[in-house]
Amino acid sequence: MVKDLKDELRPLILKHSEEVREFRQKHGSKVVGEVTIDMMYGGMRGIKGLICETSVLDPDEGIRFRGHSIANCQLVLPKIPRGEEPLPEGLFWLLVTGEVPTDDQVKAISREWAKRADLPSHVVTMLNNFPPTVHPMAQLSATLTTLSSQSHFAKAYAEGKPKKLYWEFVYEDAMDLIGKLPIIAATIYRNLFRDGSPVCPIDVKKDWSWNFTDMLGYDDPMFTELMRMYLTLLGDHEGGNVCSHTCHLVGSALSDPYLSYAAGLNGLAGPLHGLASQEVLLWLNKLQQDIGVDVSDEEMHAFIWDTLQSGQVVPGYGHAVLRKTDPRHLVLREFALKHLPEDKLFRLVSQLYKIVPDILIEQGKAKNPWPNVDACSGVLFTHYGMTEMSYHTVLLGISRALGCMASMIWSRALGFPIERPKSMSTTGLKKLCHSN
Amino acid sequence: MAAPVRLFRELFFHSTRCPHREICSGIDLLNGMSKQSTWNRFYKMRQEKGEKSFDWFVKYDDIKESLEQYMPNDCAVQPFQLLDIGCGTSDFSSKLFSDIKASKLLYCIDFSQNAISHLVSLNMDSTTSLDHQIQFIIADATSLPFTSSTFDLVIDKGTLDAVLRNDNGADMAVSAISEAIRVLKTNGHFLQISDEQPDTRFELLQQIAMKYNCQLSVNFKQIDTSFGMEYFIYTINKTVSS
Repeated sequence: MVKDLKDELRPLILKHSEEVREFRQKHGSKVVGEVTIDMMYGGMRGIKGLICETSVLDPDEGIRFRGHSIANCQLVLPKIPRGEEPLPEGLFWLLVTGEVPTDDQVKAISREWAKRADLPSHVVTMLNNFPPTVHPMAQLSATLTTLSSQSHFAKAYAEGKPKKLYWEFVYEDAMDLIGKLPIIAATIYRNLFRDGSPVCPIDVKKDWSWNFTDMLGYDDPMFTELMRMYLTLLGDHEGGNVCSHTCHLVGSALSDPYLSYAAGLNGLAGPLHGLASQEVLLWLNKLQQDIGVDVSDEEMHAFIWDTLQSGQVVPGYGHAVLRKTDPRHLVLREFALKHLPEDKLFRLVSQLYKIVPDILIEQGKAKNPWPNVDACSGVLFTHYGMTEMSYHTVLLGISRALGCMASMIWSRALGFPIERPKSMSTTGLKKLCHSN
Repeated sequence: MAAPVRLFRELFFHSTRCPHREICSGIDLLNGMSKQSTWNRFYKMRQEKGEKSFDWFVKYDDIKESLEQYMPNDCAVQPFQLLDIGCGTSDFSSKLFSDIKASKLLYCIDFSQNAISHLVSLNMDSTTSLDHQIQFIIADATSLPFTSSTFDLVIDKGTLDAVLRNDNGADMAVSAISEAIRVLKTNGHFLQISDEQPDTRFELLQQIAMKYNCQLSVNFKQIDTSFGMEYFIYTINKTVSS
């Protein structure tokens, strides 16, 4: 009999709380970095100010989930029998406990999430009444906000439950939220793009991603494998990105997980954060219109050369945080090379991968010319029929819930207080400078 | 004349060791960015195409407003000493140099013999070169041929990005940065212009600064460009001498 994740967590929380307490006692006053005026005007980039236990970005290896590199996760996280891609249930277990789960533990999570997938009728009514002009991300966040009526945490808080038990109610909400995300997202999809045809019922024997692709209306098992892999890869990315930070910030005011994650999704909907994959697809479509789809390397080289020379960018390139290609991009690329090497859009993307870094260097525009993870994700979804670009960010929103919810459980477990940095006015800063 | 300098000029003739390819493509450079031989091929190729200068990321004119705060007063007594580490064939520092109104000296160093010899021949007849106000020297960023506390302003545009590509890149980067700090005068500034994001570069600089025990202050800001690339100026200010 597999121990419930909640029961697994209990001793881990006790142990880690003690570890943090000891650590802070010894080193609590250690200075970890400077803050300058430029950084205050610069969006706090570079300022260390948050704790995130679930993932850390290694500049050479890329994101590490509880210390495990992407490559290692691909290797050790459980897959379905005869499957090749890790299950996001396994990533969630890893993020929450710090330990790689067994097949049985992952199956238990799949069952839990399937059991928690039901929606109250007022939420179904709301979903079915959104006009098609409301963007899928807005629909998703609005629906999650409304689910706040079901929050166990909100109820527990109102009943005056002690602070040390908060995490248990946050855990229940987190598991409910993740369980409900596929059906909400699938309903949004079918309402917007499949004439409002109903989603099929959940099958408790299927894993989370499989139920999701079934409800979306896709029956290609490779698409389901892609979904498993994507939802795992994008599950977490440190604590400072807009979505994760917002969720953490709102949660620190003891807003329930539904309100907190809906807020995070609103950040993800911003063009600077979550829309990169869409931009790449739009640009690829335009490229196809301009020079066609079967382009020689020389023609592609000339086209990209002119694009960059004229001061435009190639979406997906030029914002490298790592010192080499993001390993998540490489995993997506490997999947495509294996399963859809002849796909026309993917061949374009592959050509770009060969040619763009070369030109960025030749023109002296970048010494870190690596593509980011969005440079090829949209192309993969499009291949299996999900051509609706506005929906791709929703997939990211579903994936990121895993990390955000794992972190939220721990934030309440460790008793993190309300987040409230100090702001200053320009006048105040000037005074500060003169007085030195 | 310049402050005492442990000057050495090493002129390597390595044509026999160089691979026989004339071309140095972007990918070649990407794969061999830490290697002197790659850069020699790169500059040779560009010179054969008739190119006079090559700049990474931005040219001087793109960011000169941001650099004004580092220029000296007109009435400074001592000559303002400027060092460009990894100058390549860029005219960035010589343009900055010509905008300085006070008495001044510029040293441009690079480990590529082809880059330096190109700059030497380009500047052969200029007055600044004849006065020895500008000198072009072959040197390695991790072992600077200058005495400590020599320079008021040290500039690195894209150099550390190449140093980081070595197999032990992180260690070599620390050496290069430590050397730059060593040759910096008190109140001097070390500027790095790069496309590397603050998450990685600023973190590295902060970690190094912490070892200097309050003698350095670090900062960065994003450079606004008309095209979408993200570039940053990272600054280290030496507040107290070591």
